[in-house]
Amino acid sequence: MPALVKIWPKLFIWNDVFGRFRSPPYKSAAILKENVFASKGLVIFMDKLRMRRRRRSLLKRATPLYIMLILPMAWYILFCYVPMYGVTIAFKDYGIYLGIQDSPWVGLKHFKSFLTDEYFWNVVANTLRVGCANLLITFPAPIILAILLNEVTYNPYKRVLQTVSYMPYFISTVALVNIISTLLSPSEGIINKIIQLSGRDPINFLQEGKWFVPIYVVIMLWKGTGWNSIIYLATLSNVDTDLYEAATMDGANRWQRIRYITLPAIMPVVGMMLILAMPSILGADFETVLLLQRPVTYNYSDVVGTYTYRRGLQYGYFDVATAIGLMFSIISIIIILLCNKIAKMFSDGEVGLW
Amino acid sequence: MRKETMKSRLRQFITIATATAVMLAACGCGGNSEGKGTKETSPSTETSIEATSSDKTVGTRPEASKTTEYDTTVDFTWMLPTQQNIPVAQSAVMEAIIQKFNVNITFTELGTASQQFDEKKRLLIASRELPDVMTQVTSSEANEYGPQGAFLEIGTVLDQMPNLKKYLEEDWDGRYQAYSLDDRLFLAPSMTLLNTPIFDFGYNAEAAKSVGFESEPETWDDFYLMLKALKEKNPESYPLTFRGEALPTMMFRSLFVMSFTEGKVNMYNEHLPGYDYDSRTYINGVELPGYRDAIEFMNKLYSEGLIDPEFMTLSMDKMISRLNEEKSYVLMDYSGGLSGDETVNESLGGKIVPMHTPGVAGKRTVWGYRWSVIAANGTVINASLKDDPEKLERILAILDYLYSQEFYDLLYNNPDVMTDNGNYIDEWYTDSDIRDKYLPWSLQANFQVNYQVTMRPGTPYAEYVKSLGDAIPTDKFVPTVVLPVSNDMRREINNIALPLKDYFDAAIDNFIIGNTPMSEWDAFVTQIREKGGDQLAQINNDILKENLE
Repeated sequence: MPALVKIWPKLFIWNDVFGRFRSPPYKSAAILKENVFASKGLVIFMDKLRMRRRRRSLLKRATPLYIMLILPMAWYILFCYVPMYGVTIAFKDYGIYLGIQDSPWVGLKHFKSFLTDEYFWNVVANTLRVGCANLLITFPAPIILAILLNEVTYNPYKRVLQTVSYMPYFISTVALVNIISTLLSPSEGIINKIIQLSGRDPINFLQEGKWFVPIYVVIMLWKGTGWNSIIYLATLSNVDTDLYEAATMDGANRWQRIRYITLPAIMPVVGMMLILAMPSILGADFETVLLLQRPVTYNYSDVVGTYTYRRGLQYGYFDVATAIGLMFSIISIIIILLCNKIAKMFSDGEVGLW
Repeated sequence: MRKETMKSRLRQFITIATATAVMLAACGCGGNSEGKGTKETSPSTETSIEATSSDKTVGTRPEASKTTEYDTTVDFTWMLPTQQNIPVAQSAVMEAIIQKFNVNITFTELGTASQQFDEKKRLLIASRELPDVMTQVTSSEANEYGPQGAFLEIGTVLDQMPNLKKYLEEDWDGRYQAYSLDDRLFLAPSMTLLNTPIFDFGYNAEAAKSVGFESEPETWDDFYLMLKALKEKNPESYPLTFRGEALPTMMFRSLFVMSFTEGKVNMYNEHLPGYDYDSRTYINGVELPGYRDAIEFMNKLYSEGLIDPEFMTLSMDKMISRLNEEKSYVLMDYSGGLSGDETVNESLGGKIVPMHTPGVAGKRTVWGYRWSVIAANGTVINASLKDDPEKLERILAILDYLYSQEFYDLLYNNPDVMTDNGNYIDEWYTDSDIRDKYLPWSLQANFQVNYQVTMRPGTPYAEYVKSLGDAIPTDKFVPTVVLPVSNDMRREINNIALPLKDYFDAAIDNFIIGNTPMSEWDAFVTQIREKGGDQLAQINNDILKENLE
């Protein structure tokens, strides 16, 4: 200790009370080693000081970025985290005038009420059916489209194809459903005209529950394929073209190039997007379902979103709706966490959200 | 060095400023959440109307007293449902009220057809940002939130509303509609239709004549034969149609089930118990005599191609084009629209005339016949106005005026659109903007209802309404039973009824379109009973017994 006191001025020059150093830390360590004794504890202490100083320097350089982050963080805290207090509605007999605080506590009553409702489990089954069908078909489609577009060499044509493919994304859901309804109309729709030409009776697609899932999937496919392919195309644009040239020179055909170069290049993004898409099994596109469904197709088309909307907004049972929403949010988080873990396991940590 | 420091500081400043601007813009964009079609209007806009018929002269009927007895101007806000084209502030009657009472009213008007009004209402109640006055609040809402402090107890200030007080004292049956179980009044009730259906059939009478039906069918068998004859005339047609895109299918079923069950079931309580006048008990709606027959009849019509296969999804435009092209001949719609000048019949060039629902004449409880004009909804006043006596007094005076004879005359005997002999000018019937100007729906439907006056004497609709009244033997009438239900009991009933409704809605239309065969009807009824139908019937019977005793 006395030695430390002796060499202290050589090690540090304190500029202010927060200990801002002037002399470089490595010099301090060298001085220590040279002048005193190579105490392991002291060296560790010096290393920590050195890291602290490095962090401060990084912080200073990135200050504008951190300042930019303040407002978004504040937004998230104010509009996403503070309102989480409202989930207590799920455990109360919520009186909309009484407010959250003054409404009486009922515990798990609302959870019990819908979990013991047979119709609710039908709704869950519909949601899973719609979600799984949607995921199985609409997830690979943008990948395939991106790969195909990537193979197009004539750029103007490629750009036109790209634009045309993601234009349906900008059509409103209402207009899209109207178009589909007209196409499928039993009296005027072109699909039924073709069916009638083959000698069969027209099918009332929108009134038969078994057609709900296929119609829904077709709409989502039409609307989302082009748009979702953008991210894969962006990833593919970063692939070094030398790899393709080298592969061609080595005699690889198109399919082999796709298999050994293109696919591995987009795998991390595919993995990440798949993890993000997994919770969508529990949540169909609310607007599309609401516009497409009719009471006559409820047995196939009523999903958690529309069920919650009816209970919460149409009938005014905010507490039940919150309870349902809370339960499914928790399940979605668990799904994301599990998927992320599995993805990391199988990809040796390469694929994952964090 | 100094230059570089300045540059870097400038860059930092620009970064921060841009980020702030973007966030503030994002916060601002999310702020405006008014529903579509909201009309926020300020009062006292200039209005003028010209009676364009050359041979009509303006009469000299009583006018509202235009001088105001109030020295100070009071401002308040009023949320109203609307089905009119012109903002209510621009109507002649509202202008007269504003002038008479020396007020500035800021209106929020929302359409009633969509869920918009109800959702907005709930959000306002939840956020405690209620307007000073709000119309079309149900009595159950008023009786639930009133005691919690949202609405003023009008019962305590009824002495300041002599016109309303007179209505309530004379209409003892109506008290059940408006008052709470503990005899408190939180709303100024609306006046309702007296025994006039707002929804009925309409048909192409000329086409029906051409297949041998000179007059409208009076029984369901005749109705079926008429549809069959029309189908034979045009095999590609679907004689009966319905605009299911905008109207729920329960309205399509309503006329059939009401007629077949003699009024015991209506569109709102099919899945609930209905009151059986013979046994004087509540029975599950689906088990009431006649209900199954109604569904079976509809299934028969559908399977024989007599009902439009797209009745659940058809838009208004498509329905009108089918009627025009004679691919359909019979429809169900709002009676006003069938009467002459509204959208449906205007587009059809007067082809469609109203048609009585078959099998109604002679039946008892048709359309839920009632003795009372008092409805189960009305206008509420914000409870916070207790602290503003001047504003409260003015609002009470205005609301009470809306129940007065003077206002009735202003509404229905407006000299600007009436001739000396008491008829309305043609534009009253042909131009909905003119009618909205002098008979705004939001005031008429909620304060003073007289549908017979609004329809031109001599039109098919006026005659139809009269004939309906003539057909009903009033000596056999049993008024609609209104069960007094507490808020807690109502919640308990709804907890059972809502899941039941989901199941019911999903199943019932499948019987009509044949997805589920009628052979499975008994299994369906059993499910209804098990899912709460029996429980609800028991609750209703217990309340009935308790109150009868």
